[in-house]
Amino acid sequence: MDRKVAVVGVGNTSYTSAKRETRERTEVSADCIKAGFDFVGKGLSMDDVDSIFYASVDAFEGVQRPDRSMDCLGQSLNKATFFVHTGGTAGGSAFKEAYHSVKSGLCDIVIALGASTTSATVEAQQILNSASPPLIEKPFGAGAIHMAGYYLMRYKADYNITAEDFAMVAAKSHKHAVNNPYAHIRKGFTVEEILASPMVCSPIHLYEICPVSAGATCVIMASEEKAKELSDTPVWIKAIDSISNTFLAGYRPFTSFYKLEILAKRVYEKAGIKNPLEDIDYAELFNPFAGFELLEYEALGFCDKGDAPKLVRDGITDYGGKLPCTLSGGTLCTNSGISASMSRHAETVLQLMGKVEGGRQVKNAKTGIAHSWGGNMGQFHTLCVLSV
Amino acid sequence: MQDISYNKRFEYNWDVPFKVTLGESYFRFLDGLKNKKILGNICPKCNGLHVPARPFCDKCLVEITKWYETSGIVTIESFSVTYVKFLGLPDPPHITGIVRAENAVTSFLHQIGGIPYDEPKELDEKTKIGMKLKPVWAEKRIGDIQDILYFTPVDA
Ligand SMILES: [Zn+2]
Repeated sequence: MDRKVAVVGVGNTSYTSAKRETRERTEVSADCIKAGFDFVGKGLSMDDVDSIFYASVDAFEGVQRPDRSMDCLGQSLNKATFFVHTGGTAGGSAFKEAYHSVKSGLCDIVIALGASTTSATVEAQQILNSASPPLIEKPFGAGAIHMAGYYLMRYKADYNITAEDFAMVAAKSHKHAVNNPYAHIRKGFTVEEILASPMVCSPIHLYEICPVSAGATCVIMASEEKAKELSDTPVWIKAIDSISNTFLAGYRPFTSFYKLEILAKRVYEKAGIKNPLEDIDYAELFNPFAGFELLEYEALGFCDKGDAPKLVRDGITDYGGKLPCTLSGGTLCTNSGISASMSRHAETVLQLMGKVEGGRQVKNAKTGIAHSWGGNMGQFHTLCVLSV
Repeated sequence: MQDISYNKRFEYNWDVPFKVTLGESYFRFLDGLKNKKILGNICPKCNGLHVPARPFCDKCLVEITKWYETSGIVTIESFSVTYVKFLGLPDPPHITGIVRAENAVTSFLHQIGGIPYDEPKELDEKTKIGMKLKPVWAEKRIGDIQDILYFTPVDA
């Protein structure tokens, strides 16, 4: 059955620092869903929704199965609710599960919600460490930043990547976040400021690291028939998939995001993408550590290995370039946990709908991609191709 | 500026102990550490040497049964120098890295130490991918990955 599935609505709450968050956790999700319904309009409400997919990481929220505690998901209305948790990629995975439910014909209208995951967390690195294999890796206290350090240090050594290369791609995100009303850090740090910021875990400077944010993102999906009723600008899901790696980091070569390379080939084939740089008009990539964006360009086939900094220097991936990437400011500027892995999809959808605020709207964007990364030392990736 | 006058928090914590079973492979690996031995095992299907030893080859999905004692020398695949204090981690500067024993198909995470420096930032240059390291053992070993205190350059 070839049933088309579209995103018809996007909901964002405001984003702030997790430490400054004053909203109770269920309020954030409720606001997010309301924003999604308001975006669609046409009287759409929870009564019309068949299923809700809630993506988070329970340990961060300090509650097991935190979806259960979110009454705003329609429990009182007898809705089917599901908890999706694949670590940092959970937003991308929930998006995929929501898609499956409509694609299969079982549901017509569904919501995927990327939770404001980290506002209850006192020490995020402690939780991240609890995701490591307990016998072999956990005792060394590695958090996400150390894992990122291993990838980026190796990349730096293998291809003579400079500190400035990393700072330039970070500055691109900071520059655009200033114009994104849904970004948390909107300081516009320059290359010089980034290089002058303290080295936290080499080769990563402070301003190349995401903040701990609060705020949630959701998308509303519909079958073709419903999508045409609900939206004048539906964005169709052309292809989506995810990929896994082993739990123990041991099998990974830290030389590239090679799993993303495999995934990209798989997804591009389904979507009919032959030359990514020509065929894709917009990309939202997962960059909690700024340098990741460079590894992602290479894994996604935008350029050869080691050439990603050149794409940044030539402005190819900046606003006005051939393939603008992560003009939201990305996860680097806003990371409220799992929300950040669904924001990638939400932002791409807004770009394709032509509804991006803040002067970041790419002209005539027809095909976009959204990516997420997560799990112990990059255990999972998800990738989605969207088009109008 | 957001009003944070009602930013009141309710505090609680989880303090829940766990006990995981080791199984034969991890038991023998950890027991080897007590005797200053870093043991690996070899997949009967792909011949891949796994260090640390593990029950299954994740690639072939078969049980690994053949044991192998490594020299203990490892090579740095990658590393990161931590320059700020993290909860539960040693005082900075502190180096963790991904190291590989001999021609193993798996690498593992450990600490790197014993590299002299005047300024902490020198550690970024003095620690090198491809560098050979040897284990520095704890006096009292209990069958834990931390029986190896850290790995240090072979010529140190
Ligand atoms: Zn094997």
